[in-house]
Amino acid sequence: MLSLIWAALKRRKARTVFTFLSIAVAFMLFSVLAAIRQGLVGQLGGVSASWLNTYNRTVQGGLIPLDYTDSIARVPGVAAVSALREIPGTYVRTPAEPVTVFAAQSESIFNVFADYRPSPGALRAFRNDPQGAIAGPALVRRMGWKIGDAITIHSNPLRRDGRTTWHFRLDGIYAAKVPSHYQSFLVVHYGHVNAALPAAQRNQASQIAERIRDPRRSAEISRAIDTLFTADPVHTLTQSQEAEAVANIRQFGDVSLLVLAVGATVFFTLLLIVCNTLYQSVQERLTEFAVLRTLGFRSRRLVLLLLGEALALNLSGAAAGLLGGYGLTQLMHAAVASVLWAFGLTLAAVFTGLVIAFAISLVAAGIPLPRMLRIRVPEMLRGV
Amino acid sequence: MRNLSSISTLRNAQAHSAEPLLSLKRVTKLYQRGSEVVEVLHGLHLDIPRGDFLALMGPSGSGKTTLMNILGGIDRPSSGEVLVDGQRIHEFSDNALSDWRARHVGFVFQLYHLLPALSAEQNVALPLILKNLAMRERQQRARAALAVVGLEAHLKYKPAELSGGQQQRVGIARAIVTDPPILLCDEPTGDLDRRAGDGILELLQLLNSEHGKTVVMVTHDPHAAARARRTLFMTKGVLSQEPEA
Repeated sequence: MLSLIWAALKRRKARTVFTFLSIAVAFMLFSVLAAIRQGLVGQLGGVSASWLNTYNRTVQGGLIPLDYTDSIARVPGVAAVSALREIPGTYVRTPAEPVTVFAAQSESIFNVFADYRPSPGALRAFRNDPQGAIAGPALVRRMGWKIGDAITIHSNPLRRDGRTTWHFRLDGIYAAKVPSHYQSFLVVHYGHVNAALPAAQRNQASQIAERIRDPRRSAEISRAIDTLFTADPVHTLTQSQEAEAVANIRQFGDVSLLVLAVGATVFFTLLLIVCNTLYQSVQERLTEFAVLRTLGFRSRRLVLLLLGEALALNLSGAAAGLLGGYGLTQLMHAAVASVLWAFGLTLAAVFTGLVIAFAISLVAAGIPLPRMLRIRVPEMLRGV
Repeated sequence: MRNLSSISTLRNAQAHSAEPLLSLKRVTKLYQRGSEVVEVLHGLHLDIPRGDFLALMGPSGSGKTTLMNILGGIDRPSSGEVLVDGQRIHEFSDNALSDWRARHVGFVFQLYHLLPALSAEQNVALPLILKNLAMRERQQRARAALAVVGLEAHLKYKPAELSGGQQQRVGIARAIVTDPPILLCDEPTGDLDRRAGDGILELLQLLNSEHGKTVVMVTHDPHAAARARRTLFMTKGVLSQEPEA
C-alpha cells in the first residue's frame, strides 16, 4: 500500500510539490501566529492573584516613598511586603544584553515570592554580604556566571560619586521552577544600592510587591492599599499580577482576534487547495481504481489508499512547515521578546497543527471519495 | 521465458476434467440506455471445462465483453446463474466477489491497464498486496512471473518505457502472479502488431497447456482465435458454434 501511495504522489510531481509547498508555507505561518498568540496569552503563565504590585499612580513610572512599605504591611490580609528598586542595566562583558536588577530590602523579596527562595546556604551568604546578589537560573546560564563571581553592572541612575557601574558578588541562584520570564532577574541589597544613590534619589522604590493570604480578596486589598495614600502627594495604583497580565493582554485583544482570523483564512484556503489536488488526482485515476477493484481490492482498501495519500501529503507538509516555523520563531524571538516575552512555538501548538493537518486530510479525502466508490468497473475498463 | 519453476503450482493434471469450471445458466443482462432497456445477453448457457482455451468471437456490441465481465465477477447478470468451481458467484456480496476475484481470476486487458507510475515489477506485484506477503516475497513472486513472460530484464521499467507487446506481457505476468486457475483476456492482441500479438498468443497457449490455466479470450481476430482449443461466436447476445452467415 505504501508503494501505491508513493506512486500516486509521484504521478504528477509538479502538482504534488506545489501542494506540499502550499501546506508547508501555511503551517509555517500557523507556527508564527501560534507563537504570537502564545506571546499574548503566555503572559498569564506564572502569575497569580496572590501577588500584588503597587506603583506610582501620580507619575507613570515614577518612584514611591520607601516608608509606604510599613503602612502596606499593616493592611489586613497582607502577608509579606518588599520594596523593590529597579536598576535597568547591562553586564559589562555583554553590553548588548540587558539585565534587570532588583534592589530589595534584605531577603524580603523571597518572603513575597516564596517560589523563588534560594537554598538556605545561599540565603545565609546573601544576608551576610552587603554586595551580594542572587541571580535567576536563566540569567546565570546566559552569562556563564559561577557562585562567587564578581558581577559589574553598567547602569543608570548615576551613583552619587558620578560613576555608572555597580559591583556585586554572586552568592546564589534562586529556584528554577518559576516560569522562564521570571528566571532572568538579579536581586541585590536595597541598602547597598540606596547608599550609593544621590540624596534626592534615596529611600524610594520603583514598586512595592505584596503577597496576600487570600487571592480571592486581591481587588479588595488593592483598594485598601491605595486608599492609604489618597492624602499623600504620591498616589498609588495597586493590582494583582494576574490583573496586570490580563490588562496587558487586553491591549492586544484586537491583534489576538486578527491572528485567529488570519489563521482560519489560511487554513480554509489550504483546504481548498488540497481538496482540489486530491479531487483532480482521483478524477485522473478512475480507471486505475477500476483496475484495482478488478484485481480484488475491496472498497475499504481504496478508501485507505486515498486517505493515506491525503495524510502523507498533509502531514509531511505540515511537519516541514512546523519545523520551518520553529526555526523562524527562534530567529524572531530576540526581536519580539521585549513585548511578548512568552513568544514561541509550544508543543501544544505543534500538536494542534498536526490535528489540523489530520482534519484537512479527512475532509480532502472525503470529497472525492463518493466519486471513487461510485465507479462502474466495466465502463471504466472500456474507457467509457 | 520458459522458466516456470517459481510459479507455485502446475495444473496440467487438472486439464479437461469432466466437471465444468465455469458454468452459465440462463444468463441475461439488461442495460438501461436513457429511457430504453437493452437486453445484451439473452438467456445464455455455457460450460467451460477446466483447462479449456476458449475464444469468443463476434462483432462489436454483440455482448462478448459483458459475458466475460460476468464470468470474471466484475459485472452481475440481470438473471440466471454463474457457477465457478461449484460456487454461485452471482450471489456473492461485493466484498466476497472482490476476494474471490483476487484468488481465482487473472485479467488481461486490450489496453493493458498498467499503473503508469509503477515499474513493471511493482505492477506485477500489485495483486500480491492482497495476500499480505512480505515485500521480499512479493518481489520474488513478481520477478518469477516476469521471467515466465520473458521480461526478467525489464523489472524496473515503467510502462511508458516498454513497447505495446512488452506492456501486455507485464499485464499477463500480473494476471498470473497469484496463480489463479482462470485467465480472462479481453482482446489481448487487439492493440498489437502481428508479431507482438503472436508472442502473446504463444504465451497464453503455454499458460494453458503447461500451467493448466483455463483461458477465455475475447477477440475479433480469427488468427488469434485459431490458437484456442475451441471458438464460440456471439451474435446479438446469443452464443453459437458457428459465425453468423
